[in-house]
Amino acid sequence: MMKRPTHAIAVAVMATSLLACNDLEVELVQLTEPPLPGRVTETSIEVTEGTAIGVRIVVIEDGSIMVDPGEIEWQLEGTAATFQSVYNSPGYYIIGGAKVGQSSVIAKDGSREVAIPVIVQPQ
Amino acid sequence: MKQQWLQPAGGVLIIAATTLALGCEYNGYLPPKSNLGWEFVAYSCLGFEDPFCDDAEPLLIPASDSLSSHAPIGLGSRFGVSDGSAVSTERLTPMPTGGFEAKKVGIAAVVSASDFAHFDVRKPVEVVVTHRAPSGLFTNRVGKTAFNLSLPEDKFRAMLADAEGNALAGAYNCKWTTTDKAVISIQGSAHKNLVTFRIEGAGTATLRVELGDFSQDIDFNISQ
Repeated sequence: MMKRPTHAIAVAVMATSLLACNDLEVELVQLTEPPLPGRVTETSIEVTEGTAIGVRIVVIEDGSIMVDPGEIEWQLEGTAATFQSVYNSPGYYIIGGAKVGQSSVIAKDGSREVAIPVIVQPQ
Repeated sequence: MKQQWLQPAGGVLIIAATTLALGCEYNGYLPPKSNLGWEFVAYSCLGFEDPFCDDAEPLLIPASDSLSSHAPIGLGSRFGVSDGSAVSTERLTPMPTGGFEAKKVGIAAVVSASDFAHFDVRKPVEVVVTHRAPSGLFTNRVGKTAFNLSLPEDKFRAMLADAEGNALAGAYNCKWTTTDKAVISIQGSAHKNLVTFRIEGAGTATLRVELGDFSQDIDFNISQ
């Protein structure tokens, strides 16, 4: 008679649930209207090369809890974009298009992270 | 005598030059705004070669269709920004002495720790020489036909303009020269956008300004 691995299945489901709860998400809000095409979508930032756009980035954990912007470590991957926190305005950032291509802005909170693609289009 | 009414009481000068006051009106200047409204990223000039530098002689620029609220910047010119670094160093190249050189036509952002602003870099197509109007502003463009001058000492201002006639901010190498100092002499610096010249005597002479890659001659025929 074959034994069903019920215990193993239960552990696997729990791990998946924990992973989902620990995921970070972002909400992006466009603050400025750039002089050339550029916009903020739900999941990415598009900007024209040479220009910049003001964005509010809210990092959310467990589906609804906002992470204190001061707790977030920001990293920029790639050279297509620039990233600048706005002094004295937590959660506000300036994203620039240094050259055509794609970069990622990565928000890290401890071992968790979420990447925001930044697409830089030609002028 | 047709020109006698122009002579000052001292009866010094009548100039029938081959230039003209075309009456180009410069107005509609918009104060600069940065994007987050903190005004921490603002244009600053690097020297008096830049016509946007001379606070004592306010420059009124035409209303511009620029995508930036700053005055458009001339391609190849040098200018400063109160604070910040360029998003694209291919467009605005930092200079070792501070400020930027505008290297590419288009929109270029400068970002500081608190704000950012966009600058509109445009290609110059001509040098524009202006003369002081009765209002006291340099709004009269010195052009191709007769320009009349009744003072022994006066000023011209040179700036570059784009194809739409917008005055361009930014410093270019500037040099004023005269072909005959005995007729027209340059007073003070010959390397500022604003030149003071003096009528020294009768004769013909040409005042030339070289600004960036452009130049203009202003011919004088002075009788006493």
